[in-house]
Amino acid sequence: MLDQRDVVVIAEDEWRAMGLVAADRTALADDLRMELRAAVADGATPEQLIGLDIRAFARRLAEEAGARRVPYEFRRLLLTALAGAAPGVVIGWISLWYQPLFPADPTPSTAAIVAVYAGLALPVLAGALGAVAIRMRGLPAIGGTVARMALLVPLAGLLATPVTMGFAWLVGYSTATPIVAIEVSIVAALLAGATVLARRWALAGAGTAAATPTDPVPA
Amino acid sequence: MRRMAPDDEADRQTQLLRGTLDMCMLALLAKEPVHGYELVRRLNLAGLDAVGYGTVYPLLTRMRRLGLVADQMEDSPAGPPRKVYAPTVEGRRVLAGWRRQWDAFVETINATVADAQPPATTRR
Repeated sequence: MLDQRDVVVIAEDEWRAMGLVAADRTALADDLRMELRAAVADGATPEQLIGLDIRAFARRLAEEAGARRVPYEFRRLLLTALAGAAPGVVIGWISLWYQPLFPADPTPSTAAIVAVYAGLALPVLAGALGAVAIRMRGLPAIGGTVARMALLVPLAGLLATPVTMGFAWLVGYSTATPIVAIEVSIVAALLAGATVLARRWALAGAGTAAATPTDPVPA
Repeated sequence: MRRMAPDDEADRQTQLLRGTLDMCMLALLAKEPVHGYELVRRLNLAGLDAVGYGTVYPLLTRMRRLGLVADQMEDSPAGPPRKVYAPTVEGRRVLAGWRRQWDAFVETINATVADAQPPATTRR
């Protein structure tokens, strides 16, 4: 059986998942805690009061209270970045497929390899950043997000290279489709993680000022 | 014709209540300021027994956000201090408007339903 503390913990978890600003989460939790304590002192159980679907109750409460939501927009951000990066990826893929990278030098230096791959990655990064900057320009802290992406996404790319190569080494450099899919997923996860982190970082700086009220509940 | 099942009846009751619950809450609070749990009890005593705390508490929060009610901490003889809600001046003004609107609405609906009564059937 749930007690009042469990209810508040579940509600707070739901509010966190909704992306409510910390100050509003705290205010809602304090109020709810006080209400539940009073009701329990009158002999009611939290389940009798709220029912079993605590999360639905928490969502409704946040919406009715007009609690402010941090506009992360992760899904839109990732899709926009992906769409912006796509032409660069296609061009890079075609370049690698049809044109030998080092026709004159069978044993190129590490610096030359890094320079070539950086050259291929640059349009991908520029496309992603440009798309986010243009397509999401109305959103709070989007300039900060793009600036942080410019820092974090290349770092994630640098991290992804040895991790993916390590995995490839572990599986004997297999080119089987599931193995390649895993390698692509590792790279994609790290780049997406860097993008999400950049957005969180930018909004942490903007704080409550960037928050928007939750959608009102229709009467 | 199919008779209305109890579930249908409850659904219809819920729909009818949806647009009027805030008015009922405000009216009860205008009669006497109470805390959230007690307001639910009073709504139930008034015959709105399908209304639960899970509905009333978020609505109270909305009414507070809209400035229709204000809360004040009060000591309780039994248990911890609690927030007691009362209508604000704006809340009382809004309630008076809602009452007028409700009276006119009920009058219209009653007249419509009465006019649409089928004529009494006669035995041959």
